Amino acid sequence: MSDVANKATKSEEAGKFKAFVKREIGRVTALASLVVIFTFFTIMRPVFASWANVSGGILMSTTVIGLMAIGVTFVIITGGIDLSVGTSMALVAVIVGKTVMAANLNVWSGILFGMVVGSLLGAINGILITVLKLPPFIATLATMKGAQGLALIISDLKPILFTTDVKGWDSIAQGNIIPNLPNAVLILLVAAVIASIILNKTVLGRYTFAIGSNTEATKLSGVKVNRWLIAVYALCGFFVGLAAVVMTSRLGSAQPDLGLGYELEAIAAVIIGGTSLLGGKGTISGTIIGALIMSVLINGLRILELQQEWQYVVVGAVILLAVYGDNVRRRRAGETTN
Amino acid sequence: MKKGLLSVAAVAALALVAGVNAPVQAADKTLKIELISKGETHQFWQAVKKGAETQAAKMNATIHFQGPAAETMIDKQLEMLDAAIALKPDAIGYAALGTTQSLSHLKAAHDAGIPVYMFDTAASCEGGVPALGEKSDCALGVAYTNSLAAGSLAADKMAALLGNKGKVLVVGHSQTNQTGIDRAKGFTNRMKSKYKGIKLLTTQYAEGGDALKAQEIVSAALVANKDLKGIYGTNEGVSIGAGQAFKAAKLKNGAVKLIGFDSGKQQMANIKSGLQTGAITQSPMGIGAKTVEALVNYVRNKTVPKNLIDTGFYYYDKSNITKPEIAGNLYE
Repeated sequence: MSDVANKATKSEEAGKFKAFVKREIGRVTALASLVVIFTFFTIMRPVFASWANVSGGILMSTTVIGLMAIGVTFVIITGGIDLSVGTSMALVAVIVGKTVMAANLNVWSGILFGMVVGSLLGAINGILITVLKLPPFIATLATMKGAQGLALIISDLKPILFTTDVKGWDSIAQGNIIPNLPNAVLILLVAAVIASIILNKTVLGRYTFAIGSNTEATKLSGVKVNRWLIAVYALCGFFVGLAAVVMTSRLGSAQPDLGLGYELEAIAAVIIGGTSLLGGKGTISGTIIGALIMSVLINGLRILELQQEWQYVVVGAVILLAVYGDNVRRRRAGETTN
Repeated sequence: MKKGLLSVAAVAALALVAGVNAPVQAADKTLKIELISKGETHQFWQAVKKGAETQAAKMNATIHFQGPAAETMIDKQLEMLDAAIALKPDAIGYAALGTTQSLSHLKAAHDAGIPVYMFDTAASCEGGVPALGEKSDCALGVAYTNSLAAGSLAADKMAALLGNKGKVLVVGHSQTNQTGIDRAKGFTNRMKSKYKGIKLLTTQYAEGGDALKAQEIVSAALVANKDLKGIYGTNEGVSIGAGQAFKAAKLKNGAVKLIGFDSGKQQMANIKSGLQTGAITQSPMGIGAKTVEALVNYVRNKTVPKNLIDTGFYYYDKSNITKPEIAGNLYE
């Protein structure tokens, strides 16, 4: 092997390594922040690290926002946004509650139904954005309002109680297929793995990144961008539907006014996890880490009994720090920032 | 109601004395009343609306009841208030969300000659509730549950349940609206002044009465305080969330006492099953009815209402939940 070729291989390897660092450091810094925050609270109150708190407190609190955030990750990678996930969750919860109680559905049909309704709502967002060519921010702001209103109308302004007639609805979130691990957490983990596979190993995933990197180029290469975008928003809705099912199971009821504001927590989790608001980049594992940072932080502050008003301040500061740190890192790496 | 009949009788008597041209047409005209509530979602507001509708039907008036989707939407509610003023109704009932922000809007109603009676929550009018009345440019008065007193009743019940000792957590539903503040403050003040054996943890808030957040707060508190003995939740959503946290932690019924607020299907089921110990209920139908009564009497008969009408509250638990005086104020 000639020297020249050798050098080329070396620089290629160095390039690969740089690319790896570039790709992974977002998640690595997020994970490091998570470890630091977790350690801090453990030192302050050792009970924080007990399994009862980790599973029943932290992980359980991550389930609803985490599932929504997984869906939103796909949307943000395409360069879009979905503001409707919070109130859509309430709407799905209400529709599922009404239907399950009226039609006496069993648990499995109820779950499936929730995911179908969620996907349909998501597809509506996709159609508004592609067919009517509305900016995602406006389109999903409109459906956010619409879903909020419909949830109130359909529920007749009352929470819908899943009575004991629906056997096992409680167990969707609170049962334990794996001992000592609430099912809701298991659902989140499985959903994350499936989402990761879709994002990294399927055509849908490939086009999600391609659309986010350069919509025009993707279109010119013959990809039916509109169809795939509708699919992405429907997929987001699918996870929102799952979040709605988990939420109703955790509460034993569908609360029609619960969900507004959750979209921002989900979006924050996605961004803290290193996904770029500009699109084209992002990971599911990063999003899960982002969601965990939020719930570890909030749970820890509650365990420390910090005054509520200061809790808000600390959460705000940590979001700023996390995203700012990521931006500085990207600037150094010569990327454009959010 | 009784007072209303008396007033009508008084006017009729006057008309008889006056003999000719009795002002019957004034009594015949159906009065239009705009009611701007703090919300529509919770069944509580639906009960207020029902009470108002029933009373209005009795007194030849119609009501138009509306409120924002969430109790955090102060701006939205003020828009509704402005729109109501623009309609020039015979009277307006208003439940203050933005206790200071609404003052200029209430003055606008006063300047337009529309009488306003507040319900559930008073705005921070100059001089407070004592200064309300015909001369006030804020409102004639307010019909509400004395939330401070209701909170302190909850404290009495909690202290009795715990034999005046143990750790108690208050989970509030709002740090910004007066009802939320008073329900929590009434409880904590009473505990601190009267029941020294009770140790209060730092009050936490599930803003807006978010049941999921309440569940998370209570789960964390149960982990952090193995010796937690009691929880007081200041609204329906919080009480539901706290009960669900007990379920998730697989607590034995009654191991931690839970006193909630208001009613609703799930909370009532929890009280019947023993998951929740009891709750304080207001008289929401009474709030709606008394507001409409005060306004109609004022517009039609010039009877100036009291500047403060306390509409009452009760503690209920498994033992008295079906008794008529309680059940009438509970809603599913």
